[in-house]
Amino acid sequence: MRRLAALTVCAGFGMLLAASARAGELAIDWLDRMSVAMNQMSYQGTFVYHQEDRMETMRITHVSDENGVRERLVSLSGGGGEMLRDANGVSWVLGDGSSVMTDGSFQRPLFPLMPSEQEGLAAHSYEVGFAGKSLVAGHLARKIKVEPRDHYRFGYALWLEAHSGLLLKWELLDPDRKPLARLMFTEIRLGSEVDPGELKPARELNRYQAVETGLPAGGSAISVEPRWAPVKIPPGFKLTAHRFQDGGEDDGGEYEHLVYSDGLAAVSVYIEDPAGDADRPERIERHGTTHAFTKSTGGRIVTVVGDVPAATVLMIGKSVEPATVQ
Amino acid sequence: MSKETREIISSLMDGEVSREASRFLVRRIGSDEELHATWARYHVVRDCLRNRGEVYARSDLSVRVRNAIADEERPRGRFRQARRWLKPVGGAGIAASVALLAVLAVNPGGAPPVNPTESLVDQNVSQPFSSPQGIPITPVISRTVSTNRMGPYLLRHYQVAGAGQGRAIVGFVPVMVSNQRLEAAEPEAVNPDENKPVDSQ
Repeated sequence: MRRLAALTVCAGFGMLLAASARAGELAIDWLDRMSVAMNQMSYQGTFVYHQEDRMETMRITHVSDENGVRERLVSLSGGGGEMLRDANGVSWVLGDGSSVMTDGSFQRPLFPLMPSEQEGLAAHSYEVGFAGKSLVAGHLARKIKVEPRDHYRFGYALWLEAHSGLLLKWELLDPDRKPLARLMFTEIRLGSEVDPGELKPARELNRYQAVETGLPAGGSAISVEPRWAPVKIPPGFKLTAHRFQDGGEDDGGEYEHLVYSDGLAAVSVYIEDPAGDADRPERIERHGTTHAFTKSTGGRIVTVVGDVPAATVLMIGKSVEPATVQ
Repeated sequence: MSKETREIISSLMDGEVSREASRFLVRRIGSDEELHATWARYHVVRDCLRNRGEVYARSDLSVRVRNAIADEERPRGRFRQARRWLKPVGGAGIAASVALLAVLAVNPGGAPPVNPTESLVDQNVSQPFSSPQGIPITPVISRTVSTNRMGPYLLRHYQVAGAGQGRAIVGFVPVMVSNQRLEAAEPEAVNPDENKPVDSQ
């Protein structure tokens, strides 16, 4: 009888462990589901964005069809900002109402350089779990908690539409799990209800003063060792993309763009030959929840940006050196 | 497009590809217009052959396929619920009202009174940085932000790092909002060791 009781207890524990394992696997699967839904589904809605004392109402139209992905994001709060994205690149209508920044020289690669094993990466750096269900914008949503294992990345709370995984609400959490920013849809239409007419910009883009980014496109170089690279990288981050342009009279100076990701957060490292004044003091800036670090070293300008804590861009940026010196 | 590629797409539709390979293929379809178009055409043909003309290939096909793949490994019925998200919702005019309500819900007591200058570090004072992993302490000068200067880097960053993971918009919203703030008011400086939280719910 004791043996039977012991077996029952063991079986119970086994089922419990199996259930929790399944729950963990499902939760992290939902991150992947979210990514696919955000990219592949057509949706259109209004959302509020809250950061510090700032509240913005914005509207997004995202259409994915036989013409590819087309996207328009526009501020409804009077700022006038607008962003358009399609196969030809990104155009950012700046809030001054008179200029548009484009990045026409860069075309996204047709295929991802690193076919996603993002889930595997994220599992090393975050604990992912379910945290109940609730209604967001009239839709049943599953809440997913994504808690960082250290202070080199932010955490997230995500409310995903219960069937498709589409993101309905998002919170960025600091290492102490306090919300740094919050985004929430108040109304959203999906699939055939989306009006593609809203993809049209408020004004014809050719009426704006064009501001090219000036960054070279660079070539994909994931198989080439970077010439410059950070010596110190926070745990969990891996090089996921590398674009390179050799210096030349016609192409301008040498340019490298390295992207490090932990599966969710990403950090870009730009190394440029300025072909001129390369003296830049070290500094950190914040753009919303994005941190940026710049410095000059060895005749190069180093710029690091990412949706990560300041400590992360600082660690990476300060350690960028010529790879041969390592 | 090669015959092999078409056969792979056909196999994916027929569920003859492993789950991991399916994930990879779905991503490739998402990033390749030609593959995407072929994928959509195949579904239209299949739907028509099955007399499901009203369910033509839609933009969320890959999601449906992924769900189907997931279903195969989970108890049936879990994801078989009706797609209630197709129900009609209010128009844009109503959305503005709802947005206002949401603002109140998100921030019921209003944002804590914040003096804009409180969040700013003295722009010319070096701030000691305490590293969580013992990086040498180095003074980092917080300076004014020029989004027009940083804009190209941010724009490129979110194209390369964000778009592929479906987070482009979420990633870009803070930058866009931040830029509007800069153009409307004071330039923003940064405390390199501090992240200012919003109110907790």
